[in-house]
Order: sequence, then structure tokens, then C-alpha cells
Amino acid sequence: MSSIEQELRKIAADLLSTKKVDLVIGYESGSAGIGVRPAFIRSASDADRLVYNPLCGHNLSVFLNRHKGQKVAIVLKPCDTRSIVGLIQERQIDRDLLTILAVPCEGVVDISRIEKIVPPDTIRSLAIENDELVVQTDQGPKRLPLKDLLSPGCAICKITEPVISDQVLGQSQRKPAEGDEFAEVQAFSAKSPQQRWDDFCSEMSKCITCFACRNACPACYCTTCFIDASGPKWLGKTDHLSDVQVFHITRMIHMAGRCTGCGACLRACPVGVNLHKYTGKIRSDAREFFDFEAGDDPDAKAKPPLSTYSGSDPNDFFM
Amino acid sequence: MSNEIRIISREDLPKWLDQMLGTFTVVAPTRQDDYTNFGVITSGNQADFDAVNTRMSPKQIFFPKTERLFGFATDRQQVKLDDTPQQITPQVLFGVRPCDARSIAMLDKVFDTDVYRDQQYVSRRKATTIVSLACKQLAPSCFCTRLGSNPADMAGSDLLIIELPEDRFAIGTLTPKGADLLTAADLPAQATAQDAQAFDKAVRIAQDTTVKPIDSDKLAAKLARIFDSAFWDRWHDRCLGCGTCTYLCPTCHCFDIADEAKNNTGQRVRNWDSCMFDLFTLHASGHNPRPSQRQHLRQRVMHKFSYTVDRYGQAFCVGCGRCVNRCPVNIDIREILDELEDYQGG
Repeated sequence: MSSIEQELRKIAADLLSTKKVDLVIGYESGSAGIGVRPAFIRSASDADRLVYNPLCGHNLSVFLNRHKGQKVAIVLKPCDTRSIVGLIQERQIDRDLLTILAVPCEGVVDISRIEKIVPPDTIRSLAIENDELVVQTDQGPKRLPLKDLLSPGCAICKITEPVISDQVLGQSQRKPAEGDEFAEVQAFSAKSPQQRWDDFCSEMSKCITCFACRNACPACYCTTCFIDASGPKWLGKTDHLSDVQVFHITRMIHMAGRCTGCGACLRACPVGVNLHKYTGKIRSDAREFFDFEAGDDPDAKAKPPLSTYSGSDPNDFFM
Repeated sequence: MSNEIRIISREDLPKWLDQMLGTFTVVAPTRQDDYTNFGVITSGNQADFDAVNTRMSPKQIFFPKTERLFGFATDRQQVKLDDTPQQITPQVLFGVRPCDARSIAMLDKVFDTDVYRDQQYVSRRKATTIVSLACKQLAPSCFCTRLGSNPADMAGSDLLIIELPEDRFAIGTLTPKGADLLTAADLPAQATAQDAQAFDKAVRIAQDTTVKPIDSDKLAAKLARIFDSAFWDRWHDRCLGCGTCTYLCPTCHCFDIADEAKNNTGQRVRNWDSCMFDLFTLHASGHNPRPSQRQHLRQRVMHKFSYTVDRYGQAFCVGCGRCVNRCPVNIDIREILDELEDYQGG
């Protein structure tokens, strides 16, 4: 057990036994072959279920809107704290009821990267040992360097510190990643409109509209998503490419100045749709046009571009 | 066991597929980026015989994600309906794993009954010959044996292929449709008595398991009893409410009907639905008898292990493991089954 896990379990047990919180949201070991999963701890005696390691990819802040009015402690990685900032600014969270347990992050593992190396049909278990992932297979263990398995956003992540926290656990060893955060976006933007469209069509043709991306996203908290508006129905839900595209385009526009690039959508997708490329474009546009990066400014009064209007807003994209 | 056994080498498998391509549309597992999915092949070499499970199940071949039911056009005088059935050509569904083939036999119980016969589904089923490929080994997420099945289960298949040593495959005939496909095939080697024995032996080995299968009648009765119990209090905590489990599931078959129209013309379509969605069973009044994820998740388990047992005499889960593998938050149906069996609460 790592020292962070030890500390986490102790803090969680204290918070629960002293009734400072009703619930601790963290991570626990998953069932065979699956690394970790979100954990909901409600009694101090269960606190020793908590784990923390580079397999902990889920952005747990997505669960907070189900626990409004409850005193909740939540385990957040530095980039996840940026989602909380957005939720506070959009008045979705009562900060007084929330205890943020900020954990350091060296980047999280993207399971699909493991599966490129080890066939998923053979993975029996995953474990972290120092800076390696040990994959148990029928043919014996395979040791893979963690740095080769990072989620795409993590490999270029500049976020090393939580922007908001109540208790900071451990010491972050991480330095901001070198390299251009938006290299993939620039490569995409450099293509001709036809090439960009072809790229988008090809990526979207994988989508099965299970909505895992939307449901894993902390910023997607609408009580009724536009795609679910049914009386009257706003949009079609057929497997026609245009229906799939309208869903993703609308959702992505709604992400401008709100997407933190945490990669939860990417990791939740069961069919490997690379949304990161397009949400990255939206993030880079929000930065360029509005000088705004979601989650950067912890001030509760900061206004994300979609929450405010100014006469001087750029409007070049209008006809 | 099976009427006729034929032998084919690994090398000749793609050639056999090439022969079929003259007469049939052939659908087989093909590699797409990081995983395999069923797709129409144009050459035998495109088929992947080694992946344990395709990412999506083969259900969409018979029960597509979106199905046009009929077209309509209105003017001041009348409504014109166009329910001309879709052209369906003979096809071979090749390389299906026995769990998936078994799931198709389950879907038949829903879409092809005396009470309700789904025209499009039944036409596609009739036009399709299913050639299954027994699994050499179980993937870590596989649990077909827990559902009373095995890696060489014959339910739903017309032909069953089992790999023998030395890159040889034995093809067992299970139905007249399968026999027709095999008769038309120009396969080099005739099976010897020894080969037939090897096939039967492989089937027996596959059936031999120490796993105790669920008692579906007992489980269904228990589920009915504990519908309102505390058993359901915690499973949904981490459920995101996405459709991954149900969309990847080979037996989930809920759908929603919608009209897609522009001005005066359009079509009525049937789209896959999922009990995981907020919109599932939402009434026009705004009331939903299943208002939260707790009821949604319970519905999934009840439908698979109670309602289908009552209605069709079997649990609608084949243990393919897709939901286990792909659930973004690791809601593992095997754990739910284990705890259900042990649960003593009322």
C-alpha cells in the first residue's frame, strides 16, 4: 500500500467517524482484469477499500450532482479539481458541503493503450509496481512502462497542482509536460475543410451513441440533455451519421470554455472514438478567442465565456 | 451428436469463405483499429478467426440499431404508407462464438413467436446460415459456463467449427441449413472416423466444467421476492447511466419507436433503447415509474434473470463478458450474480 493510500484511508475514516462527511467518493480495486473503479464509502470501517494509483482515471466530480445537499468528501487529481472550479462557477456545487482531498497525479493509464500491446482477451489482472504496469496474462506477466500507457491528455499535461483543495495528500513529483498541448489540434486545423470533414465523419462512424462520453463528463449535468428532449423530440436518435454528428457537434459547442481536457469521455468510450481531438479544438478556441481556460481561475465569480456576454466578444465566425 | 463432420485446414478456411462469396453475403469478424467487429467481407482473408469476442455483438445483423418500419407521405386527402420489405439477400454469418450464436436463439424467442412475428427479423434469420467457431479458451471476462453453456455450445448454430491440433478444424453439421452450406462447399479433406471422434471429444471437453451454473428458476424467484429490498441500494452508486452494457449485450433487445419526418414525408423507425437511460419508460405525463439509476440497474438484472425466465424459460445472458469488459465504471454482472445467490435479505 502506498503512503498516499494509507493517508487517504485514515483521512476518510476520520471524516466519516466524526460525521464531518456522509460520503467519501474515491477509488477501489475493480473486479478481475479491471484495474480500479469509483468507490462510495459511507462508513469508517469501509475506508480501507480506498486505493489510489495511475489506473484511477475516472473524473469523480461527475458523481457530485447526485449528492446535492449531502456532506461529501471527494478524491480529486489536479486536473479533476478544475472540473470542480467550473461546477462552482456554474453554481452546481455547494462548496461548504464539499471536502476536496487532492491527490498528486503522474498521469493516468489509458486502458486502450494496454490493449494495443496485450490482447484484451488475455488480461487477467493489472497492478502497478513503481513506474511499471504489470499485466497478468495467460502467458505470464508482462511489464509495461507507465509512460507509454498514458491517456492522451496526460502525456501533454501542464497541470501539476490542484487549483482548489481542502487537504492536499502527498507530494507531486510531476513537472509540467513538455511539448505542445494542442499539437494534435494544430495538425487537425492545418487540414483542408474537406479533410477535416472526412476525419470527423470517419471518427463519428465508430460512435454507437451510448452516451458514455456525455455521462462520464462532469460538465454534462443538464437535467435533460438536448438529445433526450422528447416532448416534442428535438433530434433524431437513429444510427444515421448525421444524427450522430449533430449530437457530438452540439455537445462540443456546449463545452467551449467548460471542457478541462480531463479525458474522462475518451476513457469511457467503449468503441474508441477520439473525441479529444475535437474537444481540444474547442479548448484552444476558447483560449484564443476569449483568453479563457476552463478551471484555471478558482475565483467563484469568474465567468466562463458561455455564462457571460460582452459587446467586444469576437464574432468573426458569424457571416 | 452431429450428423456429418468435415475437416478443413486453417489455410483453407479463407478459401472456403471465398467460395461462399459467390453465393452469399458473408459477415465475419474483421479487425477495425484496436478491436474486431462483424462486417461484410469481400475476401476470405479479411476474416479474423482468433479474437475471442467482437466488440459489438452480432445482434445488429438481425436487429439493427435503427430499423425502418415503414415510410409515410401525407397530403390533404390521405396518408400513404410504404411498408415494402427491405431486400434481404442470403448471407452467412461466419466465425460467431457459441455464446453469441446462443444469444441469437434467444432473440428468436422474442421476435419470432406465434404471438408476434417480426417480419424483417424473421426474413434475415431465414436468409442467414450461422457458422460458429468454438472457443479454444475462455477470456478472463467470459462466464458462459456460469450460464449453463460452454465454449462449444451448439444452440443457435447451423454449423459448428472446432479447432483440432495441427491447425486443422472439424466442421460439425447441426441443421439442414448447415448441411446445405457444407454440401455446396468444395472442401479438400473428408473426415475420418478418427476426426469425428476428435470432434466429439472436443465437444465433451468443452462441456466439462467445474463451474456451478446459476439455477435460473431459483434466481428468478428470488429476484421477484427481493424487488424492493436493500439489495439494490448500492450497485447503481457508480453507474453513469450510459448504454454501453445494453448496446454491447447480444441479448438486450429493448427499442424505442420514433417518426423521422420532414414536411409531409418521413419514416417510422425503431431505434435501440436502453434501460440505463433516463428516458427509458418515461411517460408522456412526465412520470417515470423508474425514476433513478437504482431502478434502471435493477431493471437490467430483473429483465435478464427474472422476466425472461418467466416468459421464455431461460435467463437472457450468455456470459460473453462484453458488459464486464467495457463498462466504464466496472459494474460487473458476475459480482451481482454472486451476491444475489448469497443474498438472504427479504
